[in-house]
Amino acid sequence: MTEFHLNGQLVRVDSPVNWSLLRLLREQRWWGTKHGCEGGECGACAVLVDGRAVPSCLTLAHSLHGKRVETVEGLGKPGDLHPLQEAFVDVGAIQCGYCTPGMLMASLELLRRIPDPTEADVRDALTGTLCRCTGYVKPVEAVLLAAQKMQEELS
Amino acid sequence: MLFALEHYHRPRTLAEAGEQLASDSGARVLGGGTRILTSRDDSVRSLVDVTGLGLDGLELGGEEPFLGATARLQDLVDAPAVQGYYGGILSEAAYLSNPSRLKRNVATVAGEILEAGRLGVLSAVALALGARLVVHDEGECDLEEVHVNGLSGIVTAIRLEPEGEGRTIGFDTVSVVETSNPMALSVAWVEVDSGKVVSSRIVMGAIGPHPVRLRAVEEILQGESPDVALIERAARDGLEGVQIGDRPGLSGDYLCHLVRVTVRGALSKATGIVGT
Repeated sequence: MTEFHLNGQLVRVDSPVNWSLLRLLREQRWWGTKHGCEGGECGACAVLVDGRAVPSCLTLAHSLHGKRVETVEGLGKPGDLHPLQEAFVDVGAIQCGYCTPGMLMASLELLRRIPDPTEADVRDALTGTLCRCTGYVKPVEAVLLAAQKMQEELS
Repeated sequence: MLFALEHYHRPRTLAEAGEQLASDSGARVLGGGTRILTSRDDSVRSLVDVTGLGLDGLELGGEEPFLGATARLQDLVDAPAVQGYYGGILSEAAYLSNPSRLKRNVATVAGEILEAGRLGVLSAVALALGARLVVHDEGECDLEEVHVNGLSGIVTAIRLEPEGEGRTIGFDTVSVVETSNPMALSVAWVEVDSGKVVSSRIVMGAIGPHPVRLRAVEEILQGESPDVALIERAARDGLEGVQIGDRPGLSGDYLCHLVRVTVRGALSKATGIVGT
């Protein structure tokens, strides 16, 4: 039995030993985290484990015992979006949307680490999350806008 | 996905990890998992996860610098102690080892050094820095030997050359773009005393299954005063007779030329001698 915190809730799961966190999440119908390459190359499945953005396809579910997992479902809700989600919508940083959950989680890690990031910081944080639609310009703008809004809210 | 995986072990101590590894011939050490979990290797029946054993320290000042085996590549990029060691060469190598921050957040130092194979930028830099692997219950072994003979135990740390007066390192790569896998890579660690090279390790990476030392280049440098002519001669004569096989789109002769260029570049950067 593996016990860990998923978006703040303690969960206990008994999954097959070779299941990844990605597989576990999607089998539990937490479909926000997207299934991409299963090789850690595309970043569509990025989640935070103990605050670090990682590809969930490369994280064994059994290795999560005692850890804290955050997925896009824990970020915001319809009507109460996280500033990052709002910024992605406002800027138009979404086309097909498949990479968006991974981008949001990678960006969340960045903004916790560097609340006032430069464009270079954002581009570095998003390395590993591939987007074939937007060319990254709009997502980068969105993260910078979210950072600005979050800073303004703080002050 | 490891279809044949039957057991996952999370040992609380190194001794326990050693016992679990020894008791099952199908057991493998699990660090970050970036390679083993995508290997589809059906011989892997058990994984012994060593990431909770506190092997992630980074100590680079002083006389015995080491990298903890389970430190993450991103830790090497971020840690001020690593950035200050030999001009930040390990930070740069860790960054180039994987352009994806997500994967650098997961991949471990030992996994990268041992498993990266031909594309191991960090592995090549570690070899040039005289890396010795500390293996649980077995003592220390040379990285070069491990590349040739393999390793069965649990690596706990990687010991490296301390910084010192007259010791410098540089590396040079040829890639299509900065973050793509290098076509050729060389690293030069040089120790100069009283104007003469007293010791060196010159490593060729990106060619062959793992990085190798170019001892003929090192012999040419030994006891000589580094200058433009010496660097030219070492890169030219030290690679005479080196045979490199063709790769798709790249002939062996061309790869050999690229190695010469990068050896020259690495030596130039290490010694600060420009004009080669």
